[in-house]
Amino acid sequence: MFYIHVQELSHWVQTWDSNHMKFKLRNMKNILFKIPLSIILFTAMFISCSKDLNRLPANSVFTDSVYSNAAGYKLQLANVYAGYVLTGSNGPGSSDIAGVDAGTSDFIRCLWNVQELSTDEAVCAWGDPGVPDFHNMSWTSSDPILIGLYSRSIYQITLCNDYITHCTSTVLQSKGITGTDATNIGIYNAEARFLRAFQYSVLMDAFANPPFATETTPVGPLSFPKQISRANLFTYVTSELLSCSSAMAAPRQNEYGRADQAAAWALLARLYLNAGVYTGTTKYDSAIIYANKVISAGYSLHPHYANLFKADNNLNNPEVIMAIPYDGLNTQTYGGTTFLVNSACVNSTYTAGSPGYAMSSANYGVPSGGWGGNRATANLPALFPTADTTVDKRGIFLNTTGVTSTINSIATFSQGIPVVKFTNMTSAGVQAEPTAGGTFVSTDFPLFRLAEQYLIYAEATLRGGAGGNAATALNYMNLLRQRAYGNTSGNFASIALSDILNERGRELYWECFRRTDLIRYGQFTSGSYLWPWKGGVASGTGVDGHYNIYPIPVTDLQANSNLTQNTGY
Amino acid sequence: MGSVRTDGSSRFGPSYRWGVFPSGAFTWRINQENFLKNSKVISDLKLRISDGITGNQDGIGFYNYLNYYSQSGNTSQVNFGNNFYNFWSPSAYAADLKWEETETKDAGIDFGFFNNRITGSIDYYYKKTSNLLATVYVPTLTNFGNQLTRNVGNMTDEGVDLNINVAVVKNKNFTWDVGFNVAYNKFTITNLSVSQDSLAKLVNYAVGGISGGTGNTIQVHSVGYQPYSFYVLQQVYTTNGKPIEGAYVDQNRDGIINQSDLIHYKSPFAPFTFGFSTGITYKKWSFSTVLRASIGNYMYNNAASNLAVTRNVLNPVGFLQNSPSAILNTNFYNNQFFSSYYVENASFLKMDNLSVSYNVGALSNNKYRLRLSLNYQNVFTVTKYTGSDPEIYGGIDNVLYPRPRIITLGANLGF
Repeated sequence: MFYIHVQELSHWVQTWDSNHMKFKLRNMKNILFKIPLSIILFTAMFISCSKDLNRLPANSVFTDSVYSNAAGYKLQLANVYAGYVLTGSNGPGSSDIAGVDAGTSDFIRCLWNVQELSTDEAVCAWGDPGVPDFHNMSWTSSDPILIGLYSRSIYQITLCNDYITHCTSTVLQSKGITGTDATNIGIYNAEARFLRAFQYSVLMDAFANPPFATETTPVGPLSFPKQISRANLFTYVTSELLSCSSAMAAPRQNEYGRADQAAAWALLARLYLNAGVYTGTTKYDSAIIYANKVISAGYSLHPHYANLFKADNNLNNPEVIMAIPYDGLNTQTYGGTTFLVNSACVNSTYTAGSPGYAMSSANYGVPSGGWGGNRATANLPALFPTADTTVDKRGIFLNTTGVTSTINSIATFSQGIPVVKFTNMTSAGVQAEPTAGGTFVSTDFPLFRLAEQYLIYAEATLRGGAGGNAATALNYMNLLRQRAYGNTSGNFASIALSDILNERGRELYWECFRRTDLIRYGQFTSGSYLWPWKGGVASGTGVDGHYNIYPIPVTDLQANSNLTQNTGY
Repeated sequence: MGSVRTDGSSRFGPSYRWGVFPSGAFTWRINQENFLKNSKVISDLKLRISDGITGNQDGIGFYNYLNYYSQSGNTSQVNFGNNFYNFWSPSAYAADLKWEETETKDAGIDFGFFNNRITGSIDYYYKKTSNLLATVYVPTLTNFGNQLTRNVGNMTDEGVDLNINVAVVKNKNFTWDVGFNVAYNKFTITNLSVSQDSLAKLVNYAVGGISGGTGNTIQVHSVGYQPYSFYVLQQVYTTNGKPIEGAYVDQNRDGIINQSDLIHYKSPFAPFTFGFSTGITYKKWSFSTVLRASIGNYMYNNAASNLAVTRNVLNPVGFLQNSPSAILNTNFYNNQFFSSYYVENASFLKMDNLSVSYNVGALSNNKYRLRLSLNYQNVFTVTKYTGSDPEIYGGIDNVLYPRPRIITLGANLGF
């Protein structure tokens, strides 16, 4: 806002109004008479005011006290992680990002929209600006969800950059932090570097050429970060992961919710698998090396696929390498799994046992929620032998009366098969944290899990990566099939590349992988693979290749003239 | 006459806290000079010249200059292992925030003729605002947040005001006064940059949030343009003047319609405003009225752009909704928020007030006094604007209900 002030050229005097904590301006009418008085008053005010002007916000602290001891460093590590867990620090309606709705600034919610709504795996009934553009493949640089993801990833990078500056040995020595405390802070520092590399990898995948800054750019003073090319960012992210992983906790040895070495290796394997897309040069050998490191680190498949996405998936889970932890009571957001669960079911008052209950949000542990938005196009259930769990237990679809797989109108929720893979019910079949109000979900989102590493190994091997073994690749694929079928009846005798893409669809659907997978297979924008309403046409249509990369948001292009828009936008 | 004041504000950091705001004024009463003292025609003539600086700190938060940390709430904790942590969240901040300053130069003449039967003034003013305060997007990666209130640029505001009051008739039973004013005003943004750094220049700052969607804006601050200029896509029309849904002029001819095809189109500020008032008293009757006109101001009809679409009528929830009648002209199915169609000429002529009164006077041997009156507010508005009111500050109209007309009949009885 601009404030245009018109003031008369008369003489004013200030008085301090302690009740309202602000200056009041009082017009002096009889100037001649009061001038001597005003000089006295003025001088008095000057002396008394200059100290009073050192006001500080209530209940707040400053950098020095936040980072005064090792416990403070731990709390601020939580702040760094909060960058992708929460949208803000003051409840689910608060946001660190201005200009978009709080929910639209959540990491998983935005990433999911960007990775899934643009593909065959999902459509959304909502008409909110930006939402229909994903399935229509007509997004623009002012899309609020793209602004949300970009700003969110960069916000967490900024927190990491700042955190890292407080972790140098010089700083720790100056605070007298030594011994075990200093060792632990070394691990925190490595995790901050990991999170920064992870978020840069998200930006590299979605926006290709983001602005770039490390801890050498101070946070606060104005500066204009330069753009980094996708290939150079790939080099930075992979070398940073290789370097920070050595300082991280050993696999499965860190606290739940925090990253360990296996998370860094799992991310490296994922990035090397896609190296051809990012740099033009494939790195399947490296993908096999790091997938192997994760696979041999002691993880095993969870015996029950469905339990990986239930509210108690933080317990007895041997498969998940790293998850974003949510909690219905203590860690609330309108994004994350709260978004995934609520937007896939509808709010209704059906009671258990009645025919409509299958669709009801109460059936998914969110009786007060149910936002009726997301479901799959016909292509996703078509990957399965049947559109339910009777043969392949991974087909967790709401295929019930009143639901059709054909979509005539994207805005109608009952057209298209709802996906209820994520739920707020526990493995025991009860609603988690019922006192939390019935909307916020306690299910954790798996960022890295073993099944993906099996699939990376198999694909990299099949694509000719050195060090891979075809028999092992087939075995890994069949381990996933055996869990899904409960026996060996679904086993592959041999595998082709297309089998792996389809298996990724069956195993990893709705986990934010699909767009990247389709791009790697050359099927995202081209007309070679179509799905209902791809490109905004009921029968599906190919779109221009520039949609393989998202545009840099206009908000940052306008603020930082060092940035150039991606080609085609 | 001159004065110097210094203001301190806790909203600025210690090095930028105090602003010094001098002002000076000079007046020459020309009619008191010997050569005019005895003039029968000129009864008053005064030359005024003034120059002064004022400071502004409105619109900024109490602690925007300060990097402080607040503890996270109990529903905003982070889970590590079996524990939940209330972390400290840093605030975005601009340590170099300073006073917005406006220098106003004014030169004016006050005049009176024929024993002040005709009085008036004419003023020319030139205001130069520097270090404008505005909330803007800052380059990402540089702060704990993507928006900050900062000093972002300079603006000039230049104009002429003319006021004339004439006592046309002035005697015991009959008086007639007429007042007239005309003002010309022009705002221009002369510089926009979040710092002295040349990289910070050449930017548009989006302002003017609208209803519909999240975070959409319709106005922009750009160098060389009026502040709050509308920033829209140029609508394409059929030969009979109907807007075509989704058809816009591809300004850069790249085959796609997007952000780079937006154009600066008009502003909510009127360059010309006029006022007219008159009052007549004749014996016990009196009559007065006030008219105002504004020429060249534009308005974004947000009520129409947001609600006058078929999508709103047939909303996804499944029941029919009301819609403004603009839908009959556009037949748009989906919202076309950025169409220049919705930026309408909101020039107007308004009669704000009309009143007639009759003073009956003393009744029953001076026991009572009676006065009857009729007062009519918001008498008429002449405008081409299709929304409910052409006069909404800021130029974004979300109002569905028109201003009320109020007729007041009064009988005033005094004891």
